Amino acid sequence: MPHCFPSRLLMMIAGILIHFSISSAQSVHAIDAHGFDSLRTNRNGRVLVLNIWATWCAPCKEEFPDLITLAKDFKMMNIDFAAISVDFPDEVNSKILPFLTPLAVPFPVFVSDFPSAEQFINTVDQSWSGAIPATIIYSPEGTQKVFLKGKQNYAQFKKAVEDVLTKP
Amino acid sequence: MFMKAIFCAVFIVGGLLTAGTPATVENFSLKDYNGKEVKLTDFKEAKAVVLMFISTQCPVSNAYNERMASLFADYRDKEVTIIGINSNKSETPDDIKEHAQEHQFGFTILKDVNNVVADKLDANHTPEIYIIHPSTLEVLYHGRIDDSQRQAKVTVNDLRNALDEIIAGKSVSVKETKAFGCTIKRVK
Repeated sequence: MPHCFPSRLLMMIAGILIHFSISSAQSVHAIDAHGFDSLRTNRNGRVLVLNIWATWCAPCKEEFPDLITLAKDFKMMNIDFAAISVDFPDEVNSKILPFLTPLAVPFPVFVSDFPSAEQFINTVDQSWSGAIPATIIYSPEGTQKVFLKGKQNYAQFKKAVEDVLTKP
Repeated sequence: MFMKAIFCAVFIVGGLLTAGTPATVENFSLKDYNGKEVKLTDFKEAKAVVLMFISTQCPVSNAYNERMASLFADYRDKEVTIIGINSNKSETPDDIKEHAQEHQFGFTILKDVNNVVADKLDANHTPEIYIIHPSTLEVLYHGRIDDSQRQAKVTVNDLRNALDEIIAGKSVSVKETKAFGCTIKRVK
């Protein structure tokens, strides 16, 4: 059975790769008002594109792949991406990760841990109705530059990002 | 005099609704899921008319199904009329009827074809609430039912608080909160 060893070796390698893939999988941390403020303002001179979404929001899930493509396309630029889910923190394993994991999201994703939806909405932007999806682009100083309401496509995301990068 | 000035300032601020909420509503006429026509002005004998924009599919709206049914049961004998409005383009009268029966909604639910009423009120979410004065059609409250889609986490019952104040003959102290839920799916 000379071919058995290579098969077993391949299976071991596959197992190691699967293990690595699982152990390096997306993690979703809870974010409160302090964490949000830190995310927005501790920029190290980099722009932030922040997407707000939920697993129960169909247009949010539809636009998410375009956001991932954009993040990959702009990975060499002076820009960070992040997302905050407005599902509940105890829904990370049951709802959030099953959506995110197959997408291999290349940026941090948080789940809102604010006491109420209204407190989260008002912390993000007092004038925001709370409608999602919403995508906000912040300057390196943490100032809101663009607020994209509703579902966007790749071209719309890209234009908004390029506008901020070229007209700071 | 100083206290009077403070009272006036608070009263004036409390009396304002923000730009997103209309001060009054135009009368409208919609059909319920059985085809019966209902006008907003049909309820002039009530103390308040509650318009609830709801959905059969939205998980946030559905999280409130039991609370909406309880609300109707608790206020039906207190001269409060509760009306559901479904403005989502993809949800049919048959869907609405089935959903209402499944969740034992006792209140009337109207189908807002082409989201005409949602547009007039600038309603954007399900669930989203408007309390209307039955005679003047003034908007007395606009916003959420309460502060959490999870009933166990509710700390403020905004809609019930507003209704209790109206029933007691008082002005509504919190006239506006932010509704949170799914976006109303409008026709293009």
